[in-house]
Amino acid sequence: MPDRATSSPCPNEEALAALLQGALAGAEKEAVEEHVRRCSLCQIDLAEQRRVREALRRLAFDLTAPVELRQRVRAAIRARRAGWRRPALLAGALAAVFAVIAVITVTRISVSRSHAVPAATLARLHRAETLGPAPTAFASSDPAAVAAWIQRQTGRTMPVPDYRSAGYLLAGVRREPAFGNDAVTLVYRDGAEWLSCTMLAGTPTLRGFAPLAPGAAIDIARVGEISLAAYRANGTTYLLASTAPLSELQALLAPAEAPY
Amino acid sequence: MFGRDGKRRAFEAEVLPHLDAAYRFACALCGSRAEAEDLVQEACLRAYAAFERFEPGTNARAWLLTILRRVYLNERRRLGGQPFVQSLDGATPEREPRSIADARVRTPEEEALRTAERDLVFAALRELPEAFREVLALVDLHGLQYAEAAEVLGCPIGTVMSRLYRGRRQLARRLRQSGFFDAETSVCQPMRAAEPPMQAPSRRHGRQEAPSDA
Repeated sequence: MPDRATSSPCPNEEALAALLQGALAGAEKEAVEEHVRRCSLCQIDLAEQRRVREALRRLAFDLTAPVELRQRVRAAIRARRAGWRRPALLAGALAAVFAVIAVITVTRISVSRSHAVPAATLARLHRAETLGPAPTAFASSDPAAVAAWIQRQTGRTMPVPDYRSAGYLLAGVRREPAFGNDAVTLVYRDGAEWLSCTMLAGTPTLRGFAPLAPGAAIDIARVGEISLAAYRANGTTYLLASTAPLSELQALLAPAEAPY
Repeated sequence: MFGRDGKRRAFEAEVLPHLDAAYRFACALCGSRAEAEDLVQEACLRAYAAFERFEPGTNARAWLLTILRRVYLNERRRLGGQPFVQSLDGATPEREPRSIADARVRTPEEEALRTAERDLVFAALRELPEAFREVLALVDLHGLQYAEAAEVLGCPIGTVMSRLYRGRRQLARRLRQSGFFDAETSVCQPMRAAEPPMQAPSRRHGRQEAPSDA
């Protein structure tokens, strides 16, 4: 064909789909990439594939389970509870529940052990961005879109805290490779001020933090010019960093402890 | 110790976080919000009834989606080959896709643009054969890996990949027909500047558009 500068046959659909997904490796990846570099048809095909994929991803942001559906499902399950108490099912159910709790506990413990978070380290991590524009891997001010991104990237459902009442608008989100799928960082902006909120699954040990007040669920720290605050809700630890004074961060947290 | 609510709590912690995945999959299968919600609820109840058989630590999302698909297929079979809820042929993109999305705070311009795109894409998706629709919903809409999608659909990974590829191509064609993908922008810039831009390709030999298994 006149439009193709390669004599090698086009890779099959599976190979091109795998290339697009980053699922190819080694010699096969090189061979497919080399072909695509020379084959205009494959380039057009792949561009089209990407466009469709992106269009569907945008559609996904608007396709989240409505709150009423969640409520309906919860209510329906509660209504069915009577069936579970049948003796034949009880032992199995209990075993399953124990195992689930065991898995959850082990996961949390491993998170806690491997991810003790010293305030100084956290401040260092966030120093560059709290003093200037913060990097985001996915820029969006739509909490649902950001939540969907987090779900796709980490397989975890994490609530996206709302700090609009304090003037901070959601700017985007990025992953924290050091924590694998256990953490992402949300970035908020209030004019020239930046606020980052790292959400960490589980309840890691915090070092260098002090309790805000006896009985309060908020830990705070100040390292250099960075204010840090941590709170825990629903099995997730929220670590906030900002150049704002500590008092401002505390004020921010009071109404926001229950993320939406 | 667990109270009587132990199972429910464990179920809610393990399975309900995947409600978005279930809802997206259901929307792609049913094509209407109300029916998708009913399907999700029914699937959740079946999953709850079978929760004793769920192996903790395994993939709860794939488990839930597999149950949802089974409920859908059983229901469709029960209705004698009819679509689960309504004909996909008579899709009304002016009304239906708008109803599937939650209202969000946006400027009217943003809202209009997003609604227009969403309507077109969703309407085009609904016109695809089911075998394409479900794989596009799992992988592109919700971001499942190929292996997980293959587990849900009970087919080899290769089949997922080829259906995904063909499904995207069919969707692109429909979007071009509806004017959302114009011919020019659907042609990418060649990776090497020396190569001339191409016309939209006629199809390659040996590639079938029907969702036959790879």
